[in-house]
Amino acid sequence: MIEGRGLTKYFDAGFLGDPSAAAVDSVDIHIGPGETLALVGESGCGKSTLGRMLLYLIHPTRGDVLFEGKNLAKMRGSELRALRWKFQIVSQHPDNALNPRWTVARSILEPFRIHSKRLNGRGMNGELERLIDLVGLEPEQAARYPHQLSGGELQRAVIARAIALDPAFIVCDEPTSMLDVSIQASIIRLLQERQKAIGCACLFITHDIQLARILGDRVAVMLGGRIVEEGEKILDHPLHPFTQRIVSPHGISQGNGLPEDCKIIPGACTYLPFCPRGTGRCHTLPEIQDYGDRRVSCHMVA
Amino acid sequence: MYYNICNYHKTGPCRYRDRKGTMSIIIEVNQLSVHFPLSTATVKAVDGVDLAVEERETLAIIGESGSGKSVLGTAILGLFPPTCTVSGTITYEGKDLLCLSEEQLRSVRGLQIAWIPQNPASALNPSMRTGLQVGEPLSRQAGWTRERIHERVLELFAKFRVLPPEERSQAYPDSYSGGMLQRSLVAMGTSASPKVIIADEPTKGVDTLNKESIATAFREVRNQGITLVVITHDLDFARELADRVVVMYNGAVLEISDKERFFERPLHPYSAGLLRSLPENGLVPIPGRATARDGAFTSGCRFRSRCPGAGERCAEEPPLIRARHDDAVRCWNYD
Repeated sequence: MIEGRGLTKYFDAGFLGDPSAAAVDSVDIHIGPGETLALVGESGCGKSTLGRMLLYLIHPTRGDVLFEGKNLAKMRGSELRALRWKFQIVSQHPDNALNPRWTVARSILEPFRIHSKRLNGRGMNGELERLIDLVGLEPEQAARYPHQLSGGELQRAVIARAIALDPAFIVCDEPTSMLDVSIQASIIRLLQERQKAIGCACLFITHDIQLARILGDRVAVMLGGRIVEEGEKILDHPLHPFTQRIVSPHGISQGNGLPEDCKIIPGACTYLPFCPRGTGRCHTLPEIQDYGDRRVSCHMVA
Repeated sequence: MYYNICNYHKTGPCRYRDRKGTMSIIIEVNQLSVHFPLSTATVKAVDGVDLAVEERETLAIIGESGSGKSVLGTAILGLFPPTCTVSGTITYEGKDLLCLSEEQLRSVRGLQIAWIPQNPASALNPSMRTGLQVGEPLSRQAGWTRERIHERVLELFAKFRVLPPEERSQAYPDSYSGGMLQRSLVAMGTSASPKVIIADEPTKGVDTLNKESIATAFREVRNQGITLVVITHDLDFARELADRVVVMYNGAVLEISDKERFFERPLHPYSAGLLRSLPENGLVPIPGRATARDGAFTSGCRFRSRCPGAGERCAEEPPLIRARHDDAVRCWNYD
């Protein structure tokens, strides 16, 4: 369905910045039709950059994105635009995702104005009614402006816009990290229900291990721009020391987080400064290897 | 404007009074209401809250956005938006904070009761070195020279792991990570050695490992014997830190429970709903939506329209009654 091969992104660090810092480093990733891949990682590990590269919103420095077998990098702008309706995103901050000077209804219908062929002769008003009913908004709320709605209601509107064209692939970038637990539950249920109905693939980016465990058909754990472990039941039986660390039930009570004054050692495994099992071999970067039910990038896993 | 009443619920003497012999109460909130009169209706952000904070305990106030928990927190500091009307009392060391003048309040605020605001990224002054900001509460006290304040700031940075302290204190907030910003705010809150710290949503939008470091910082504060009031909707964080849990909904307190008992068996149906909506407990949303606070709610139990056990009696608002041990619940169905 959607596949990334050797995806790498270096951001322009400016004249004085460190040009060697890769936000995402040689990541291979694939998501099948109707499948949900949960991408877990700490802030700044590159998970959002990876998500946006798969949507081709950020162009990779190296590597290719293949959608239904076609290489997006080889496409002309117009060809890519014609495909765009198949990819959608639900972002972390619903209050920044909608145009503040448009009514919510206008934002929800924006996809139909761009891809008017997708209407297939149906009326805009009918589509609006269908969408706001699907996501559980009141018609009266759709007529309002974004600042007049709460975070949960805005996220519903963003979801309505994302599912408007029955996309094939949705990236959900921490859609509930700014919401309350009870609102989170209803938004997640809504996303699951719509995904099932449309049958689309989904990349669910989150830092909440519990959510990843529930939502992901497969889970990928990212650290420092690389995927360190990926597979079906990896959160129940983690092999990589970093995965073991983040799933430990006493996560919070263990005390200190990653020491922020610790510099990453160039060329070494990203987790080496924090790893309890590190040895001399770990000064070379481990390749990600296949172990049957999962892929792990660690010298100490045999 | 302000009036003093001791309107304890009719079902019996207040639990806090019973315990006064064994535990000393540092802050007592009595029938506090903060209302915002609008042209069409009155928003009752806080509506008749009774609450006692015991010395050296960690109290978590949990509730959804808009339940009034932040307004309650700022009210304890005597900070009110200009348009609201306030009634009730907030007693701190025998003084009613609502009756103090602005000048008297200034000797309490930041020095005896400190505030750790939400959203650390916008809470600090972006054009002032962080070290100076963290030491600012001290500069208002006699006997604190610049050098002494600087030393104290370095000590605090080392304690709360804002490292390396010297370099960090000279830096501006924009070079800090989210977890580090939150930890320097905790350092700022403790700099004047207050007796009480009120923290507003310290873990909102923060990832797991940063959450750990923030929890460690708060544990450090608790070990110093400082009373902590943590306003949060992060139930894991509350479970990690709190001694007692207060549940707020629509401006009222629905439940006050010991932490262990709360997570084992909550008393109020709303608390049970909150726990069920956690991912590890099945991610079950609470049916319905929070009642609009723009005056639509007039009488009866606030949770009635979403409550699975609502009956006829719920048309009248239940009082906060004493339940098992020292816990309290506002529900007719509790027996």
